[in-house]
Amino acid sequence: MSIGNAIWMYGSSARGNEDHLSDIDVLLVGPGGRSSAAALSGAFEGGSVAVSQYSWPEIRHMASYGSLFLHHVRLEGRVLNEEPCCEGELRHILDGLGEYTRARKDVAAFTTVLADVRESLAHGDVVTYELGVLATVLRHAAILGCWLIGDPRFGRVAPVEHYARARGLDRCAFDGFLELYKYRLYLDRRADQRDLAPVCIQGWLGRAECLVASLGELAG
Amino acid sequence: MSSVERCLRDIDKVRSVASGHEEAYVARSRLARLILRATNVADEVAGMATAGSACTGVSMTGREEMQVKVSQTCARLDACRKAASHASEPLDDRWRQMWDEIGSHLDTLEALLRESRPDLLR
Repeated sequence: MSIGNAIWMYGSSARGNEDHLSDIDVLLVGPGGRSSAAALSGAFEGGSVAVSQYSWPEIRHMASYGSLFLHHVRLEGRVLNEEPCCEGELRHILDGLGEYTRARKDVAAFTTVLADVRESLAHGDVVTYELGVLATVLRHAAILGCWLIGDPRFGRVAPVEHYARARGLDRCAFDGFLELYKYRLYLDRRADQRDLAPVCIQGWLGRAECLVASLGELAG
Repeated sequence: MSSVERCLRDIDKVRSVASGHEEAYVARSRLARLILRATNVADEVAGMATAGSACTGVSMTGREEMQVKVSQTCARLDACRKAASHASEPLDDRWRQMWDEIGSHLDTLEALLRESRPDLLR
């Protein structure tokens, strides 16, 4: 049972296509503490780092159902620092990942969240927030969709465009997804209000429901 | 529906996730929506305290105190939300482990909201 820290980078910085809106996505597996903080601050002076920390038991549990997030790390991640007591352990877990088994559960969750958005919009008081939620659900649903059609994509916009094209959805309708996604970045304080362009929330809600319905057919 | 009533409904919706099957993913967005709405209510209350608006039931000083308490409770809920639900992958187990703490903050928030705008509650 490992007790050390493994620190990996994934996401746009690991892919090499980061932009001014990107965080540096870091996965920290282990108890954290001073040594991991030192390793992180040494690696990313001045960068905006988004750290996801999981314990080793949590990572093993995620591996047991073939976590899509771990598949993402497996395909794109790279080691930043591993303590000697756990060197190679995360790679070993990732290499043994099985098929993702929670697609139907995810589709149910996406559907519920979209229903929440539709209900919330009836009151119209937190529209910016709902736009951010829509962007998040669309991206997550498209990442799952790309996975299910056997062509994984994990970027900010590419999964939505790719999945819409692959499934014969009206691809043009999804062309402005980046403008929608900026609302999510704004909520995360990664984009400024002046970066936001007006978007039609009812139109995006309809597209999201359409995409998730198509996902439901795939997930069975 | 008033802003306070919407918050109370949001609290119920977060609570309902505790007994559901979708759990962490749904809870994450519901909690964030609740925190946003409750913060807006706290700001409304503070605005009324500053403007000296006459509302039934609660003094101006009491309103300022409530604003602080609502904001503090929202901050605690937000800390729970972030700990329970990573953006990378929210874990149902963490959500279940933190439910007692989250439920306790929800109880506090509900009581504060019911006190804050009794004039808006039916």
